[in-house]
Amino acid sequence: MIIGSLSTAFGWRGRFALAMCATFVASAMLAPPLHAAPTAAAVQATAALRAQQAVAAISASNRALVGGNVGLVVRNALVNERGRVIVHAQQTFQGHPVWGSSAIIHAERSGAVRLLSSNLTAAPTPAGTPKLNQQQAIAIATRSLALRGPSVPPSCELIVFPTRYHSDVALMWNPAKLQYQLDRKRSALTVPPTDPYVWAYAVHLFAKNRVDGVQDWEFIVDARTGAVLRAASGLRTLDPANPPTQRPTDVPARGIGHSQYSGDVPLDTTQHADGTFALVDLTRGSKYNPFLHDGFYDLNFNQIFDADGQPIHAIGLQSLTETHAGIDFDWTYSYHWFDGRATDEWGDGQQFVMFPYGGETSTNGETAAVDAHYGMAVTWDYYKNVFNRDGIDNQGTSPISIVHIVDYFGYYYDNAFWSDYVFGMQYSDGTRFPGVDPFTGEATAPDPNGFTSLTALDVIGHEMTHGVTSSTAGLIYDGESGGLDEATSDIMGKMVETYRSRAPGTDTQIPLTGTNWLLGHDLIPGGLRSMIQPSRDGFSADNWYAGVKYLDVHYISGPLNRWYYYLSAGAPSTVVDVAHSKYLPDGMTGIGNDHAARIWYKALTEYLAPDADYAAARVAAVSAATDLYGADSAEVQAVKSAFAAINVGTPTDAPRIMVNLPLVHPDGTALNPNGSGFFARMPIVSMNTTVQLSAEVDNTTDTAVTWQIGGEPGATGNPGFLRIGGLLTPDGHWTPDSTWGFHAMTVASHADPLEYAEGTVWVVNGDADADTKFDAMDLGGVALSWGLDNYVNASHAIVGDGYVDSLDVAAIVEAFRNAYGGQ
Amino acid sequence: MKAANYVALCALVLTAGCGGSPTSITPIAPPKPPTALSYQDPPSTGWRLVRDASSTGTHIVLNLVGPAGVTTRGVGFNLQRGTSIAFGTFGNGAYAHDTGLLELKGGNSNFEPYAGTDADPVLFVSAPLPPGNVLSTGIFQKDRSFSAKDATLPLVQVAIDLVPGSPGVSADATNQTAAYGLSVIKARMIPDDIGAPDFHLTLEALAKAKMQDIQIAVGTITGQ
Repeated sequence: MIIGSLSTAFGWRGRFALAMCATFVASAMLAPPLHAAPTAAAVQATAALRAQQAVAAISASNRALVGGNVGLVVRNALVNERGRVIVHAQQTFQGHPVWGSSAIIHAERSGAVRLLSSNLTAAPTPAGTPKLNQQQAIAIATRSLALRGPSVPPSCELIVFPTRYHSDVALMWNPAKLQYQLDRKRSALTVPPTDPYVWAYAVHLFAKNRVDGVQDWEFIVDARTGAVLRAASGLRTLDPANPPTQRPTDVPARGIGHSQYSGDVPLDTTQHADGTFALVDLTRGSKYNPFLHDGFYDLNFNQIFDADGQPIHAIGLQSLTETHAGIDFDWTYSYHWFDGRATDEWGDGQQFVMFPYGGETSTNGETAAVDAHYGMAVTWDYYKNVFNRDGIDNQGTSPISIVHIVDYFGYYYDNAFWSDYVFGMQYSDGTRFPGVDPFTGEATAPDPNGFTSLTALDVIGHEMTHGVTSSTAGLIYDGESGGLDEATSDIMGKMVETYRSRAPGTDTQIPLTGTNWLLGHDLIPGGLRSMIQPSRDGFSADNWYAGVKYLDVHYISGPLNRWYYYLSAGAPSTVVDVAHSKYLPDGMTGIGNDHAARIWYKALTEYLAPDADYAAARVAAVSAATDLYGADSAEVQAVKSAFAAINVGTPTDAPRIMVNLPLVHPDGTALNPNGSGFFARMPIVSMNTTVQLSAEVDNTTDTAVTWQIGGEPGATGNPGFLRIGGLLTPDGHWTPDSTWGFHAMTVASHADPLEYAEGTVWVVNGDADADTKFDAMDLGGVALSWGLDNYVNASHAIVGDGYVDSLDVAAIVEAFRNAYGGQ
Repeated sequence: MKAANYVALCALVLTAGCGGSPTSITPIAPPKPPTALSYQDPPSTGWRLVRDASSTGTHIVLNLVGPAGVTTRGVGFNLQRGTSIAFGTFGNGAYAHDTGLLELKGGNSNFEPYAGTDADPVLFVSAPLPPGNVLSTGIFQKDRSFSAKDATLPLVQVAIDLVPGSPGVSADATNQTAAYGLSVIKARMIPDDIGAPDFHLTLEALAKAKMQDIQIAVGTITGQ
């Protein structure tokens, strides 16, 4: 629920009472007397009822979308500062979820109900009938992930899957090579069904063991054929040592922490009846952590209980650590809660000494937990006080923080992550200082470019915000929507850090200025990402362009990060300023952090759909600003101008020139027509095969274009993709050379060279029989080597990996058809 | 082509040099444009393209079959055609038709998580190579745990169509070849023994996993 800071307490109560009247009978058991302020539970109950009513109303008035076999059910609901209930609703077919198909519904206090945005479809009717059962689907997913160690019991649900979300080719960033490479695990090695909807199983697999590392996957398995249609990773974990038992005699305490990044900080802790302390914050959170309660298993698949023999039901923010011991085959790990401490003073303020193992629970080891615990509380308060959000999920569920985590093999590393399943954050300690080689027990060499412990406040805010996004807009972590997800975390992470610097008595406000716009600036000089100039890292985009979706989601975030900076701090008109936007050369005035954050939070929680792109983000932000400040407000104009500064829309809503780059066969027919085929997103061509590139230019009569191989027009850098791309003629005939990999080419509008598109083509070696010709005989080479662990002949590995599998089959067939046509 | 040029040359000479009436010489009438094709199977008993019974007068379906006693895991070949015929297509618009003899799906669960399903990508293509007079067709098993197949049974089909309105051709052998000629200019097959279906690379696989060059005999097409 959100109780806006713009309303007076009296005014808010009065308005809410009116809303309560309409639902009093149904919510009488939970609602307070009308003269009293409603409790959180009452507000929630009312919101739930109004959400049900809103969904029913939308269903009744949209029979083309909902009715018969097709249903609409509430996924979550919240009440905003105006008493509006925002409902995220899930489309169903015969009671089964339609994956990724949802609607946002606004139920106003007046009773009006609006369908805001949706990707509902009129007929999500799946083809055929399920032939597999759940056990078979689980077996397929398990084999596909090839887990070799123990895992917790999988979950499996029958769903309807829109085949447009087929995984297709997934790329991963290789920081060592500074190139994108194929991500086989996330790629679906199957031909997408021609049916738009199919029955499928959503299978979730979770494991953490020495052989498999940390694995958290969702597989979508075609219930008719067993084909894996989509594979997506999250991260989850656990194996215990001293799970906490909460007793009525426990009381809140206020301790002090010597943090690494924030100096000495107050810590909300627990004092037990015996006088000892635990790093559990009893003042925040009202529900237990569901993972600890329901999903916490040991390596023998036995559920972990607390000392009273009950599922772990401790409520409040909890901080714990991984512990590690031994080397090589004797290497072990466990989990340890910071509990039983004689004093309520924690940490030593110093970077964790990773080498040798054993210091995780020491005073020095507590330091990362101090930062994590403190950051968790600051972020909780930020969402509570500024947006009146009751925790990450707005339900008061308790998150956990785990520090000192290690990677697959046992090395400390440069990352942190949020996990929906764990409902919490996990932090490693970086590589700036010597770690432990888990195979030899020796110290690892420090990396001067590595990070320190990942528990900086803006990083904590970033990770927790992933949870907020997951429980609201549910942005699909892929392409532009994935970039919006990452940017949202960067934005809120920086706002959490800025919020910490607020003046006393201003808890509901974010300081207007004073933001350090470098994410992770405490971890490494210069930080991980710049919101002022995202391209400073050499990988991120400063502005939107057609094709930005091919980048890693962390780099697709660049434009929205810059948009937020412009919205808050303004854009300079001085060309030499690194913040200058050539798309808004005269600059703009910012509106400050507080209003900017409220606009984006409202856009995220009330308007963005899971598959939102940059254009949708602009629409959502304009709607949010209009709600908050009025259609003619300076804020709305600032939102438009800031988006214009990243090449999305214009300040006046006039259309921009738009350039697109469909790749076509020599005869002019499009590669991968209608986005179907095995490589729907990524055209694939064989080395030394000529294809004709063709651009589409809209909103101008001058459709002339200029070509270059990869990168921003006129720029030399595009390190994300290979640029040694063979021969590209002025008329767009492109012949790749013999370089494997992901090549990019750029087409820019002659009328406005600032408008451009970048396309990505996967270049493979179709000449599997090495006779310098690419013909149907080459398929035989793939056949000879298919399924072998190591390749028999290097040329048989069509995609350039060290083995040959169905991806090579699909690649050579697709490349053949792209070169010569045929079925 | 030569006949037509000859007629044109005569007409030029008569007009320029003789000055008399050209009606004293009767031109050679060009052959009539064909309205149908016939195909005579090759006499070979080795790899060959033979007429399928489903053929019609304008659409000849050819089966690829192999010699007796040979089993195979797949074949690829480049078929070159003359100017008066075209590569035909089958019902789905494809240039070749899988007879189903070779099992194209994955079948061994040790190799694929979704063994033997319709969604498996398969090694089967056929399309004309630029400039269009060579049809390149390949069909191969990918799962070496499957058994090789009897090559005497039809492995794959291609089709030849009459080009509507194509000029008639004299009985001259050279002209016939240019117009209706068919020849396989390159062909390879995967033999039965390519090493054990071991997931790991073996020396046996290194030694045996090779394609074999083969000769594919083609029959004679005649325009009628």
